[in-house]
Amino acid sequence: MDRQNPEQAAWVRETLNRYERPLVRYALRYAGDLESARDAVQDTFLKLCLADRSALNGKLAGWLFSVCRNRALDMRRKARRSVPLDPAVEQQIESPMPPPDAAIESYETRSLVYAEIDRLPADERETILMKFHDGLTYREIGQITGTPVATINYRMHALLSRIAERLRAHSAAP
Amino acid sequence: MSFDKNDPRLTAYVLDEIDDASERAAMDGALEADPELRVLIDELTNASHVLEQALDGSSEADNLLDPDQRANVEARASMALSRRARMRRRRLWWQV
Repeated sequence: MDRQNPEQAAWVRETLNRYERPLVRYALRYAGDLESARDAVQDTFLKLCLADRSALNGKLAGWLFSVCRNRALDMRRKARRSVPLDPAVEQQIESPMPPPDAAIESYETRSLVYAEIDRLPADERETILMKFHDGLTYREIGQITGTPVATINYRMHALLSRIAERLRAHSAAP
Repeated sequence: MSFDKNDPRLTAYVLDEIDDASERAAMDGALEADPELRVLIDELTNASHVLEQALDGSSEADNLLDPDQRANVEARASMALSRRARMRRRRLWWQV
């Protein structure tokens, strides 16, 4: 009789607890709607249940985000073939920015943050989203994108410094 | 230990990305001794909060799986077989 593996089950649960939220956020950028994003994440974790834990040692985040992105893109392609996407959803997919959040005090503050992010090349913008939107660590982002941690460190500091400078100028303005 | 304002370790400190305990302790010490450095760190911390808020456009519940989906994954995880059992299954399938 086949033996169930409690260690594998505990590992999947632990991974689910750590990566569920960042993966859903990440998948949303590729899938285009929340339902498809959740489906892509569910499929990713179902695949993880069958994965060899030792083979993923040290590259778990890279594996999860790669499987999830491919699944989300598949869903988006299928959706495009069957039903044309709503133009509003389409625009949301193309734009890396989520809708404005009322939690931010002023429109001006939000605008200057978006302006700084919009100036970045696509790969740097992706890195910033992974950190501040998906809540990943430098090391995890490095695993997923293949970017050295030192480069991520430098990019984060450059962006935060520019935003800090602009916030200072904004608050000093009459 | 002194820090230039262009030193990326400042942001790594703010974002809790310094793993080395001694490096972190050195930064804590430098912060206590240097009021200008404290101002820099406060500004970077504020910038990171503003950035987080600006990019977080969804509610917390939106970022989770549907409860049925999560239950499905947990059920499948609890049925996960050991590697040896999976190999055995594969062999049996191959022999059919």
